[in-house]
Amino acid sequence: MTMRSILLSIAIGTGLLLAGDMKAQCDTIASICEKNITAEYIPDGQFYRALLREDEVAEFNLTLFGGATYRVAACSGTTDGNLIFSVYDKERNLLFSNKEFNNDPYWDLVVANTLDVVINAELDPTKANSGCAVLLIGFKK
Amino acid sequence: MMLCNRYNWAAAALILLAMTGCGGPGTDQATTTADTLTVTQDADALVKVGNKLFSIPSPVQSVLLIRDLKAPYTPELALPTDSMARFTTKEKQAMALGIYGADLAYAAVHKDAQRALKTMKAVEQLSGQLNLANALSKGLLEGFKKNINNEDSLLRMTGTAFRNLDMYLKEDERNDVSVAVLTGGWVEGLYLALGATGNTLDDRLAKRIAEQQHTLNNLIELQQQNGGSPEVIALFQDLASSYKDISLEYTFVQPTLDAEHKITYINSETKAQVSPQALEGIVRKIRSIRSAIIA
Repeated sequence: MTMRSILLSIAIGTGLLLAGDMKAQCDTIASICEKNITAEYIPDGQFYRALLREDEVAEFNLTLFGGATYRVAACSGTTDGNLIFSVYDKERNLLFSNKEFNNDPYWDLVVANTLDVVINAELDPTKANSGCAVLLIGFKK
Repeated sequence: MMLCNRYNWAAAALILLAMTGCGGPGTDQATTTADTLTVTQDADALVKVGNKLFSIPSPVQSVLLIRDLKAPYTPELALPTDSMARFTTKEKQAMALGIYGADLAYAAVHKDAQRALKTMKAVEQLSGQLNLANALSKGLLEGFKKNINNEDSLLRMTGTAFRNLDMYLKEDERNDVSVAVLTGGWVEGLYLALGATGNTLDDRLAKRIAEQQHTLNNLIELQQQNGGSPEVIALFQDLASSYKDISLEYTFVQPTLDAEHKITYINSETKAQVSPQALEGIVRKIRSIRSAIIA
């Protein structure tokens, strides 16, 4: 076996290990986060994730329909409170941020009229400097 | 040149070894992102995964609107489950999977147990064809049978099953299939709502259709970014052209907070203005898209 093929094997193997590690990490966080979408909420059928480091911000775009109550659950790591999430309207008015509530992992939004929002998610720098951020959404009839 | 290549491979391997051998777990994860996801850093430190991350509203919300409108249950609107052989491409199979997801919710809400079970079987069959069988819980069909008269449980199980499918697809980097499933579900939710309410369009339904403008643009962008076929994208772009005649006027109103119960009341107002002609065109195109994707 040539040096080149050895190095190639190492590179491929290491890449696969890293990819597997990330998948496992997001899987674990999703399982933990799912508990926040309690039985009274219907999951929206989608899975949102982003890998964050330091002061990076993930942006989630969604439409919230009037007359519905949404539960937003945002998690990173295996404990609560590592992820800050903030909800803005399309004019960048802040509608809610969990930063004011010890980075609470979930919050309910009762929507009077349909609107487009952006949810920004970022790691709390005092608790983590990188990790998989998972966002789950459920709604109530 | 050969020497150069050799150095490149050595450098790549050393970098990868350094990533696993040095630094904390944080360093590892950050690097993994670069390997597996499209991560770019803008001036405002915004990370965009796959450029943008969008949510497409659940078709269950359209089904619940149908019920709120007290529209009669019309099972014939749902896609038949006995001719799935017609879906020969991966994109068509994935869109059909999304369609059946919406149909499942429609049957569940109207307590049509027989059709719900048939549709669940179709979901399982298509999931198998798309190599997604492992993403569905093994006891899903049994769980469905046990809870067949419990609408809340069925809707929750449907939502959970589709979220698991989505998670599996995204982790497997099959975003094209994920977007096609979302596309099918979105179209079917609207198609069912339009079909169930007949020729006279209720104001609430008209408003809901007008409010899809942003979602439609998001969907087109997702399709473009994730390998949607030009034919399908063209259908949705044509639909978007009809949305140009709709005006949505947004007014920010300060939200109200109930910290004790972890609730924020969003009080902002949105007024939709849509002419009957524009609405008619949109309705016609939604029906036409649905026909095209099941053909």
